[in-house]
Amino acid sequence: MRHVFVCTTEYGDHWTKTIAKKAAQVAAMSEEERARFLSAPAQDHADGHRGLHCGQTLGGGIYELYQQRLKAAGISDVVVSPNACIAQHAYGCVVMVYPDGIWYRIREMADAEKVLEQHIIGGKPVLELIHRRVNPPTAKGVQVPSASQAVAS
Amino acid sequence: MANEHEHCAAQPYEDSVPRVLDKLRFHIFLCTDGKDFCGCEANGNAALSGALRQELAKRRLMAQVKINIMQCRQPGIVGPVLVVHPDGVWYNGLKAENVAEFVDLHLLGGEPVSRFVLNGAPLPVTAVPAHIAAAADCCGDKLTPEQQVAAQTATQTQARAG
Repeated sequence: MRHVFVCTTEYGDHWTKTIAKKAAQVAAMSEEERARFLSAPAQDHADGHRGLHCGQTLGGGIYELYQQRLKAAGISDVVVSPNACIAQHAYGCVVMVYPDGIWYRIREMADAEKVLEQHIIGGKPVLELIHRRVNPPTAKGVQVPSASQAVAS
Repeated sequence: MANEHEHCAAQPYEDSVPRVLDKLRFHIFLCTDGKDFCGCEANGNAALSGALRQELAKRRLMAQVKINIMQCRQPGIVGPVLVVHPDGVWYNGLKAENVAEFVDLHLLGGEPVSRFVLNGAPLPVTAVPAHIAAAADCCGDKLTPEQQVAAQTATQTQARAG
């Protein structure tokens, strides 16, 4: 069974609280500030993250697309969950596929479809879209930091 | 020669992230859906999240365990739901007072705490299929992009000298 996480921060009714907070911030801005806030992805934002959140760009669309396609294809052993910000949105919207431990960076909807068809349904990772890999579950638990490391840090 | 690792090389942004991810062993997702689905928020999700973060900080495991918020969208489950990836173990009804036990047994010992594991679908996932591990293996490199370039240069120099 695959568990797919699509970053949808600030998309739809799941994020009413953060949307309300951000909406209040945006409402308090002057028109120039607002235009700059919404149009400049490289801008430093009030929450400490650069760029627009995934839900403001592609995240919501990807989430809906995956739900629709998987339902239409009758695939029931894939769970798609919206997840909150992992501070990677400067690279593009992040889609995480577990347990394979592969994070994809998605810049356009065609990439999202490719990931869905090739990896989530087909089982072959899309190498050119990989953002990062998380260590696969080969080891047992975590390693406890030794006493010397604990003193050093 | 084009850099074959270009697709997995880090770009200079928030440079602490690559270092954190190198050590990352567990990625824990906590459900925060309060409305239509599992009702995790009403069942002490905030207390669980706080206790878990405190416990990890106390044991100096923050670099190896990342905690994230999600919505599990699983109808008919009484939360709070907690998913441990990449092991793919779903927990149900874990409370703040059981956090120490969870860290001891699962995060340190590698064995899920069976009395809190979610029964029925979705089933836990055990391992990455071999062909996926092989296909994407080139991106599992522990080297940073700079180290990769340095390694390549060293090989080329050796080849010229030899």
